[in-house]
Amino acid sequence: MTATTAAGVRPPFATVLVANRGEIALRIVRACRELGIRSVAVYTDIDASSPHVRAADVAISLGPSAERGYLDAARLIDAARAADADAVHPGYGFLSERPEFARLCTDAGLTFVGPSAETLAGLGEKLAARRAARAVGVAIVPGTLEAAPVSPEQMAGIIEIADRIGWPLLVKAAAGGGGRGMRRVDSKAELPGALATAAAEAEGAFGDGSVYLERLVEGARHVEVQLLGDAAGNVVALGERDCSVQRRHQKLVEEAPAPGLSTDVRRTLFDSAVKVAGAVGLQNAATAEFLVEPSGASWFLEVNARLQVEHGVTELVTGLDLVHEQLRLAAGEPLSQRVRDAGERAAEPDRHAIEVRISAEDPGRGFAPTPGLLTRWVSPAGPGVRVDAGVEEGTRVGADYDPLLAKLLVVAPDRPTALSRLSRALGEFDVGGLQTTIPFHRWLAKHEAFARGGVTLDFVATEWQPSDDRERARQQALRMAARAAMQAPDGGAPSILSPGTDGRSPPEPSGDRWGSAGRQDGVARWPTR
Amino acid sequence: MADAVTAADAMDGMTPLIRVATETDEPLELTMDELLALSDDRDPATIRPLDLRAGDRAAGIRRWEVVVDGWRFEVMSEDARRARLRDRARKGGASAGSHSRVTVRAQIPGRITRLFVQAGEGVEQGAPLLGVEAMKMENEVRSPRAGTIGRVLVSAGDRVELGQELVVVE
Repeated sequence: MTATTAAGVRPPFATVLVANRGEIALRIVRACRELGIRSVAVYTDIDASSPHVRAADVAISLGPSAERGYLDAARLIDAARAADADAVHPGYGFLSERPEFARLCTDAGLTFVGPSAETLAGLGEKLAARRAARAVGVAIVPGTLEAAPVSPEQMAGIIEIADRIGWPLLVKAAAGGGGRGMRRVDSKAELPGALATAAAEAEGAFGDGSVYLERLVEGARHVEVQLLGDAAGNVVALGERDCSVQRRHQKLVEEAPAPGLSTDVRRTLFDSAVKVAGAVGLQNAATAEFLVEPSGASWFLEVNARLQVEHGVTELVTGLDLVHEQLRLAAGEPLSQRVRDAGERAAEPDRHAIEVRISAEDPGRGFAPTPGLLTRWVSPAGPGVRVDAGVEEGTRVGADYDPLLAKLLVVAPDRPTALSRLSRALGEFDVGGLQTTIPFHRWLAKHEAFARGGVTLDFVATEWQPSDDRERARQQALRMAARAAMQAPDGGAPSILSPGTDGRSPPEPSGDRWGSAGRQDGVARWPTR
Repeated sequence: MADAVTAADAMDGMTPLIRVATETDEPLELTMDELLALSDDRDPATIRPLDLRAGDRAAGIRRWEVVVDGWRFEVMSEDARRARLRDRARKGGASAGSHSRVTVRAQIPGRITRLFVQAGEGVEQGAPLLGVEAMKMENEVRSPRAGTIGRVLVSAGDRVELGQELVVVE
């Protein structure tokens, strides 16, 4: 098939299978549509009516098991073959960084849209990545380069090493990610226990109990660099993202550029990231993560060899479409001039983008998951606003998958404008049926320290105390329910109020006065500040 | 006639007209004056009626979903006089023995990962009872008050639905 897009460009592939679900599957399907590529969605039973399934040209069932579903490599390969696909895009999470899956694709004659199986294997092993970075002269967070022994007999040796690294430190899983298999250790006495529990947790989560030690860099920010690489070994850094607003190692908010970072620090980060990428033979898209201290000193953490959840902020700042670029690179094309130009400009960005993750979690109860039925879903729009959502009204949010519902992204010429745009957009969000993380983001968008920029990784743990905020909202909710019950006559509550009876009607600029408010679609909307 | 008098009383701005409550916190009774005071209510908010539950209609109860500043609440509303009468009846008829029993229910559907307690064991308020895994995260269910574990109704590995009974604290 030699179809071309409306613009007459030849698509990099004829058919691509998207081995993922939710917002990222839809985002990749959209990119395929734009490039004239036939897209194949896959789904487990509970996702059968999801937006990503309807958006694709073809959809193939992975069967009833929600647990196995998107992790069932053999079944995905079969689906790709059945749909006559020539490539597989893994998205993020699930199988995206599993070298075995990349190899299975290649063996089946399918192009894996991502780095090679060898690169994935090298980067998935955090210790190998640390050694590779050090070998090319990039500063790594001080710590061990080999797995730490966890047996009691070897404890004296490891404590001596820990003393040299310095306290407090972190025990981390060599195969890890997402905070699992990670423990903070403040003193010698805690080390043996922390090593044992971290190793057990890592074994359970990743099937590999290797752990290592790393100094805990306090007062640091998480800054990461977006990379793209081609088959000839050229790698370009497309700018950084600051992801310091985290809760227990889970990112909540990401922005680009990192506020207050000097051009010099930025260039140093880009150089380091490109060096590490070169050392591991990176192709396609990846992200190098660093800790940045207030002094500007930076330490390499690890490379994520896939498209990141937060790739959109880089797209908004650079104007590129990273999924388009991924697909072209996977098809063997060299880095385009457009990408190289964006790399040239990356150290001096001329706009600011912020992303907030809208999840089915209750920020008032330690971000506990809140699965349920989305009875209403109206997302914001307007200038500088992008919403990547994997849900819609009527979606049942289950407990089987990640609680991410959507990403709200805003872009503006500068950070203050981006922040007020974020506030405006969050106010337009209208979600019913379950609690989301929106109150956290509304609080953050108005927070003085966040507005100044440069908050550190401990920000959420020390600053987020939602009880007063929530209680104020609850009092208003009670008053609103009381008024609504008084106005709407059916249902048993007395109806003795009418609009303007005593000249004390509320000042409502929208004009929907008392009497009509309750009847309008059963929905009353109070004025925005 | 009685209704007319009550309505006039209510309009004096001091007699509670309506009682509203969320499930976990203290209810609130509001007078006409309080209902009309909009001064604090400036945050973006939406309100929608929710489906009634069994017995609501007979009891004159209505339910609402209110979202204020992103915080979501399910609020029930009822006539304040009726609510007070019911409180009085309940207080009179409460049987000894049952008042101290609390059944802990699942707040989220998921899988039981661990049990920290067994029947007969004493617990403090806030003590972890069991772990529920949902969306790849483990959440600890804690005891709502001090007491003795009466019954444990689930085992590790069980899948539980929203509202399912987990543990009885006596």
